[in-house]
Amino acid sequence: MARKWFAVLGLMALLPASGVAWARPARREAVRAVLNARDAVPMTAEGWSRLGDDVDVYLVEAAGDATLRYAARQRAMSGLGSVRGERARTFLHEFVAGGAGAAPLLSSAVQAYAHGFGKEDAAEAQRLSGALLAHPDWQVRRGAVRALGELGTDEARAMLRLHESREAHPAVRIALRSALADPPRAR
Amino acid sequence: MVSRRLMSMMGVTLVCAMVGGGVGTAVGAPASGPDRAAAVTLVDGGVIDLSPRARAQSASAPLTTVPLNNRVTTSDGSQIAASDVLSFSWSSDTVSVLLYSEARPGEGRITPYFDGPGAPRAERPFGSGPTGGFVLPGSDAPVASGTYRYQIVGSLDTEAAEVVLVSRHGPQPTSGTLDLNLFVLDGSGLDTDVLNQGLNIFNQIFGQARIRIGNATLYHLTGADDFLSVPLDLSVGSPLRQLTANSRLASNPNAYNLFFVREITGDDGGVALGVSLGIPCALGIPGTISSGSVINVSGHGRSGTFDVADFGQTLAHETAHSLGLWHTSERDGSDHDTISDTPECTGAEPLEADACPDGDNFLFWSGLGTKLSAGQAYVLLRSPIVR
Repeated sequence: MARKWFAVLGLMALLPASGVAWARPARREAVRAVLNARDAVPMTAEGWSRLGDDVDVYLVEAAGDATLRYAARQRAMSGLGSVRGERARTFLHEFVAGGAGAAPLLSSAVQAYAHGFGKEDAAEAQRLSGALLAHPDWQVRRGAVRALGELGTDEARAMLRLHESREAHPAVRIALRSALADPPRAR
Repeated sequence: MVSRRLMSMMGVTLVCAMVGGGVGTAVGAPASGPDRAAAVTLVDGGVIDLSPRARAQSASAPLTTVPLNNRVTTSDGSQIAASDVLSFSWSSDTVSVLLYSEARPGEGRITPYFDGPGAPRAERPFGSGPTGGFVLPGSDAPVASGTYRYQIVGSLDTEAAEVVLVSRHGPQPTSGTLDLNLFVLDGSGLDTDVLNQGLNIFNQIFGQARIRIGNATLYHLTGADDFLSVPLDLSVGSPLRQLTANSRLASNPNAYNLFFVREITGDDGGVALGVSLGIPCALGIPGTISSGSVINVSGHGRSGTFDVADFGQTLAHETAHSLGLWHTSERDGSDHDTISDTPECTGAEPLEADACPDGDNFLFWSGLGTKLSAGQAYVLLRSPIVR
């Protein structure tokens, strides 16, 4: 018995040296602190990951938490687009495809999906974003335009040019001009 | 009515019950006694046409040009541009001095520095690229009379700075009044009732400093749909900057300017609830690219309701930045404010309010508290725009 414990302790001592990292659990309170901040909080994928290996669990929880203000949920969605992973993809895909969320949330979700998963599946990101170009709220359409601009493929740009002739809201038209001014991106 | 309809489209319904009655206990501010704030009364300032053809072409503030014609080598060997050393005086009846500066050309980067008689002071110079400034006092230490020297320092491509010095004189204040210019963009989704209730929360938080909101003038901005969604961009030509330059359209130049838009967005869907255009802003200097704060209305929605208390806290938080207060503790615990009685929190990033002695302060970095310290009140009461 004692020999078995020594073996376990020995293995624990060896793991860090051999490059095997221990899981660093995220703290829910730390994630919420970032999400709830009143001022801008610039966060990169690395910044989110520094909060813990399972930060996506708490971001998904917050993004769907109806007790949080929209700004916090929008920041959580943005975070999911940065940290990526299957959990993030599933949440964002379902949220955008559902199309029934409040305008600020849908707007952030579609951008986060394009940002996080547009490179590996541009066709699906285009389909989701393109569907929201017909949304009655301009805030959602602006998010969809920015998402398509982020994708930057020939197909996405064609959708933007087509929408340009229909869009009347100045805020969305500004986003359209900005998206179409960027050079096309290779798939 | 237009804004009510838009709020409905945003999936937002006003919940008045959150701030009904005296509202004091809702935010932790005093509910009774001498600091209790009376309700804010909004005055209708009318409709302002902000369509592109009617917009301001330039700032209206009387700025003095200061050339940055000295070249200085820093300790790391790099070169910067600097103005001559200039000065202002502080006498026994001076209450505060604010310096505001803008880089010329506008793409330059500037920061003003100052020193004066007596012990070194805690104030921190502020530079956010094209603008910079400081307010004295920006800490809770009394200011010694005498001559203060200052110098504008900038990037090598900065040829000059346009500078304004604003000073306030009179007896040292024990209470004060802050006037507001409230610019609500048509389409922002902000209802007047909600704004009024948010202002009452703001009034209660500032009431802890014995400051009450005085004349609150509401301007409805039309024709400005292109400003409804503003990116988080503080460069000189950004919409955030352009928007606050329209503060020159208000009739009260000494009021603090708050602009309400539908959203303030980051590159990938993230948002900020509010942005102060300086620490301090161009207080009492309307028409500049740093004349106030911009507030994100839609971000304060919450599951089909509108969080009025949270909205009021944002107004107080951003206004306090503009009047010269920093976060009590920043996110990583490495930076703290210039106030002696606000505790400093250190620890692992991000600092959590529950684990910090200043976590309940309204200027803790994550900004969920409502408490305002005596030291913070010292600075706010002496602001050039508090009367």
